[in-house]
Amino acid sequence: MTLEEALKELGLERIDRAEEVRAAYLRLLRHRKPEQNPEGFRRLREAYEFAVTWFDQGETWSLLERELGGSLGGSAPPEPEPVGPQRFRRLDFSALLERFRLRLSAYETATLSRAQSPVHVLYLVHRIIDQQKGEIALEILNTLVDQLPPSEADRLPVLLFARHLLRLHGAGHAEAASALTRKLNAWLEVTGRESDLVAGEAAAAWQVCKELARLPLSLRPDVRKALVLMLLEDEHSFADRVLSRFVSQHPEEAYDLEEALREHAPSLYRLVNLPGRPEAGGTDVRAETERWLSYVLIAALAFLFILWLGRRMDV
Amino acid sequence: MTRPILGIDLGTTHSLAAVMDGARPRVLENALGEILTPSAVHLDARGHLLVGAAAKARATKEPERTAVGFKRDMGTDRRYVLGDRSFSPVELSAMVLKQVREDAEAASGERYEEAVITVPAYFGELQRRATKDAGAIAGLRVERIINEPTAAALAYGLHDTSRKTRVAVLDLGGGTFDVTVLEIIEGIIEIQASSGDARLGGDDFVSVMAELVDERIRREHGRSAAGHPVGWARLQEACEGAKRRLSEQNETRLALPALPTEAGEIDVELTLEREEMERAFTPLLDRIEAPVQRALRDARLRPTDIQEVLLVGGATRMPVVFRLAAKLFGRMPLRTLPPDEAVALGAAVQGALKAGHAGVDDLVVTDVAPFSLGVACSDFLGKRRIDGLFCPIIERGSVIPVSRVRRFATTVDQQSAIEIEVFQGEHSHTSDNTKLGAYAIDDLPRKPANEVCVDVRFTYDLNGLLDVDMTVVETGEISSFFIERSPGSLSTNQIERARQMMQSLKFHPRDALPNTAALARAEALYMELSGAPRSDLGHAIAMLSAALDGQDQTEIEMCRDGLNQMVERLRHRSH
Repeated sequence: MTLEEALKELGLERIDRAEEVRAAYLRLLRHRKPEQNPEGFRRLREAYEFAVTWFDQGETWSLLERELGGSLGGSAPPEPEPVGPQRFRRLDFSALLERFRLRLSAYETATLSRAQSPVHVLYLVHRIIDQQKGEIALEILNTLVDQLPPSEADRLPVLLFARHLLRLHGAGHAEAASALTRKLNAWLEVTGRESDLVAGEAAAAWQVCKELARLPLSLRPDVRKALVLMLLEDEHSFADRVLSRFVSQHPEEAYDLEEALREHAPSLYRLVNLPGRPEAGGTDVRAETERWLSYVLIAALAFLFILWLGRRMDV
Repeated sequence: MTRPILGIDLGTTHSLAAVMDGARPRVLENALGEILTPSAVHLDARGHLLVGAAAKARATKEPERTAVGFKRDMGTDRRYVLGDRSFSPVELSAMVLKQVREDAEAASGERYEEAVITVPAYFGELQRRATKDAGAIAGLRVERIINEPTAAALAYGLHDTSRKTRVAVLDLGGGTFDVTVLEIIEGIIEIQASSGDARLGGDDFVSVMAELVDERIRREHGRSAAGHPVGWARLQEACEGAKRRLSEQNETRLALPALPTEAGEIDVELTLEREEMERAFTPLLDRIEAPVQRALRDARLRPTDIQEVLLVGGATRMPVVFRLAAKLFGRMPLRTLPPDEAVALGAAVQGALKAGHAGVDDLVVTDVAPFSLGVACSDFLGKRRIDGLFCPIIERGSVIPVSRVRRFATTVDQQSAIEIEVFQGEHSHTSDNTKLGAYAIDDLPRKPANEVCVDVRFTYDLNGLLDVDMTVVETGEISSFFIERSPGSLSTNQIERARQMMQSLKFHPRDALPNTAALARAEALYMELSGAPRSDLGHAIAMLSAALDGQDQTEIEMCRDGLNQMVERLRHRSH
């Protein structure tokens, strides 16, 4: 079903508000009752659901663009597109769709086939990575970089792209993600965007991506994933656990990693707090001290309590 | 106009029938002049079958010859042994349906060939088929099965067609719990989500109570009623009465003289308090909350978005359930329709809709698929192939009738055949779902893996029939089949044989039913009494038995009425 067919079925010319779709559906429902006219009802319902989804997406995308407009590292967000017959597509994912048609849902296929801006595509990639289809996500991102003309370089939201790269690193696609990072780096240099990314959230995220791509591919996947978690979600407790275990079980590798970070990935090194090297006894000095301190504290409290009790009894 | 369609609520504890009468549905009385017919079957020593109140009354005295609660086992292989015969849940349900149908025909003067029967929204495909089969054995054509909460919503929506509201229907019957979220807009009823617990009902509250009472009996008398079938049946029966009384009172007395236990008889007398029972019910109440949250989530609504909460099903009379519903939604629930009748009334409305009855012209109903339907498929994770994954084609909650298509590809080079295995369920692996059927296409074009595709289209209609169309994309060749027989359901021959078997069974004569029921109830009560009331009752029983021997109709009726009145009085007085 296309938007034109859906609109025709609903008897609408355009959709300005979600309520219009519902009102049209309810109005027509009285004449196409499922009981009496199952075929007609089915078509009506399909059109209704399609139109509602289309409208919801449009809303969400406009919202997303407005929210990210500031840190996209580029010009002002594009005008919200009026919902109507499809416009000329500039991003052509047909080869990709052909290759992966079995693994993409109908929704994803429909979205990709009418993608009109990089933001829309990246929003979809987010969802695709969520479903563990990292391979497809990488293909889409590669195609995007290949397809987007340099004249529209400022429409590419680097922050979003960088975040996707980070997630792909964490999802076990380190090699491909690193390759893509290098490709994108070249593209940014060629299109002159590199000079834009000096400060701000997008710049910081992109910097981290580049550094991650420089880390050796032999780096353990769980350590890589812990690093990514720390960067993406500011999630330290889980990452700390993984890293401490890494440090205590493979001290030599951890040392090498630390060196690599210091040399190739200064901002990563600053962000990550590798736990200190363990003592020969295999215990963590800081944790030990903390433990003893807490014993002392409890003892002190108990002592004070007994004192207090004693006082009360005297009275 | 075509023959009217009967609406039947086939419940775990009670069943009833209703039919459209002009613009409103109306429930039909049974042979005893009552609306509710207990879903119980008893086989007496002479090999005669009793269905309904008389059977239920025998459940306490002869539990090994009586079957109750068999709705919960619909779609399974369980057999119920009554005396020297055994029956499947489908056969037992068929007996109840037969009784209900005959009573309905007597009450309305019409003949019914077709019926709409309700099932819990959570019933799977197997259980729905089983219900249809039961209807067929009872001589009813059952084309439409509808969900109980949808039925309640229909009855409610018809009740007042000028509204525009979001409604949540909570249906807590004898054995199942369903919750449905819907929207009513001036006669359009749109079901939006359904959830429930197929094994939670009023009976479970009774069981909890019985366990608690038995615990107290054990502490006081050192023996337990659980070890003795009659003792346990009597205890359950008494708890059911106590449960109802506690809905109106704060405490109640429970008296069981000469209660058989594993070691002799004991006299039990204790007081139950509402508060302590409500505390014991807490785990059951938690099981009510979970499906409610799920349904709201599926409908993408918050509890505060719901404008009206409708309570349906006898067990919602319990104050503790009422309070929970009020708490969950932050508003007072409604009971505009009698909780026991709403579902049957709705079934009658659905019957009228199906028949194109003029009285429901303004009503439009859309329902949703109660479960997901899909096929078994394989996927690749890197280089590894994983088989047996469930790939839904129609998602649970899709508005029906619905048609959806998905494309699949071959997994090996030169693959010549594909088998489409149809499953119903929500789990991600087919081994946890229910298989409905399979069909193979061979003779595919021989090509490398992934290059040959098949489009599988599922079309699910209002009658729950699933049509499957498979198109080999390259050649355009279509094969179709439909799922009408699921494993475990009966073939036409089997249904015919079951029907004949039913006809050969000796059922208790209908006109004798009021007398039999009166006697059975009185005898059941007799066991619970002692002293003067007991001997009075004994006299009244003897008088009716003598009158039956004499065969004078007027005398029989007088004695029967007298006996019934005494039973009523004695029941109320002892509490």
